[in-house]
Amino acid sequence: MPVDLLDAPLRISWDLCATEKQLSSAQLRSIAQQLTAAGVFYVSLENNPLTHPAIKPLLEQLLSGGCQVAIVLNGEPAELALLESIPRSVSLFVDCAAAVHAGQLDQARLRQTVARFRAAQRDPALLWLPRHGELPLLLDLLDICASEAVRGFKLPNQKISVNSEQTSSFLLPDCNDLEQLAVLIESSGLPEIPGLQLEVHDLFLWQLLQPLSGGKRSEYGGCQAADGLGHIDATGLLYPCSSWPEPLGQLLTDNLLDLWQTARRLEIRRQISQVPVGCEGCSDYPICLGGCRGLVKFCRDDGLKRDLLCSARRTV
Amino acid sequence: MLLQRNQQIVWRHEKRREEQVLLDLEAGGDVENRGTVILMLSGMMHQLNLLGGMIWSLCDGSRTEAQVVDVLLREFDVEREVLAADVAEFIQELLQRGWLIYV
Repeated sequence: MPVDLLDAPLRISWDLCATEKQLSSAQLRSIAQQLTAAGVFYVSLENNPLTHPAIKPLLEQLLSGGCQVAIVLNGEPAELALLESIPRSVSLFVDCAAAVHAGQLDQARLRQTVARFRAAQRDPALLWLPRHGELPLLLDLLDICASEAVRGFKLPNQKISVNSEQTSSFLLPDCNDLEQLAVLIESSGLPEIPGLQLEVHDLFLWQLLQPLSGGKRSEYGGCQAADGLGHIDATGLLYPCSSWPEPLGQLLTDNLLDLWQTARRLEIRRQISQVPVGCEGCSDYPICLGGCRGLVKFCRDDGLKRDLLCSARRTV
Repeated sequence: MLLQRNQQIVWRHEKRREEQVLLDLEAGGDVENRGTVILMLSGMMHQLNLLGGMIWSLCDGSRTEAQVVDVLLREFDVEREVLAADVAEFIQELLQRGWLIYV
């Protein structure tokens, strides 16, 4: 049976602001129009989105166009004032990174952040991108979810880009980090968190945490880069996903639907359909389907192409 | 009774996909499991095939089941009884799932 690719992504993450550049209001409008016309279901606005002067009209445009919108915040008190004009239908995520320093979690700070948002009649979910060596902090974060009755916790895919100076391969969690977390979970168990909506992008991490989600996972058909997922950087470049190092094109000059039909996109999907080097014959391949292909392309230099969090080929 | 899609479900008609599916159908291919409509429920993606997607699209609160069959008969070269049975089975399943409601 032929593999049918989607006409357009289902989920888009969009970095609105960068240190040096940000798009004009008109440029934002143009891209947002493309997203709504293409029928993108979910848009996550990231990288200090509230600081963009056109955030309010952008949100109105996306919401009226049928998109479900989330924004990722850093939890700073200054954001609360900016939140006043943000529609309540927009989901809020507080990035836990601001509460993590030198491998330590400032629990009091994170609890205060949640309390501040709630005092402002907002109920944020948490979001976290763990770095190398930080995965054990996940148990502390889950404890906070339990004790503060946090409604949602998202562990998205690791974000990189062509010009990223913030992300290097040595900062990304690897299979040793995952093994360390597995040992901790085995010894201390996972907290019970009734009602928590847990969203874990990485399949291997999800497998460790799946008791928290009742064993249910959103659809998984392998890497969704350049099919269900897409990412837009602060200059309007469209990527297959936020973990893929090569852009598909520029949304200021080309249309999303057209870029989603280019030979470059189809070649990426062809690559993803191949069994990665190091996964041949693995008994778990029908489950993981090779995991995240973008991060491997970005930083794996040992000749293998298996997921960074996968330790070895498995046999039954 | 008129059939209406559950308003909580976000969905999308995959037009380019459908064009390909129609070409394959014309060429005699098996398109039974090829999705042309995407639905998202609680973060999970579901797909409806060509006939299912057409039924779904027609359930906009303005048609009865019989009227849905009437429209589809213009698209498919098939006996009414056969088509009506397929449509009834599909609609019953979606009603049970809560994806469709009667209004």
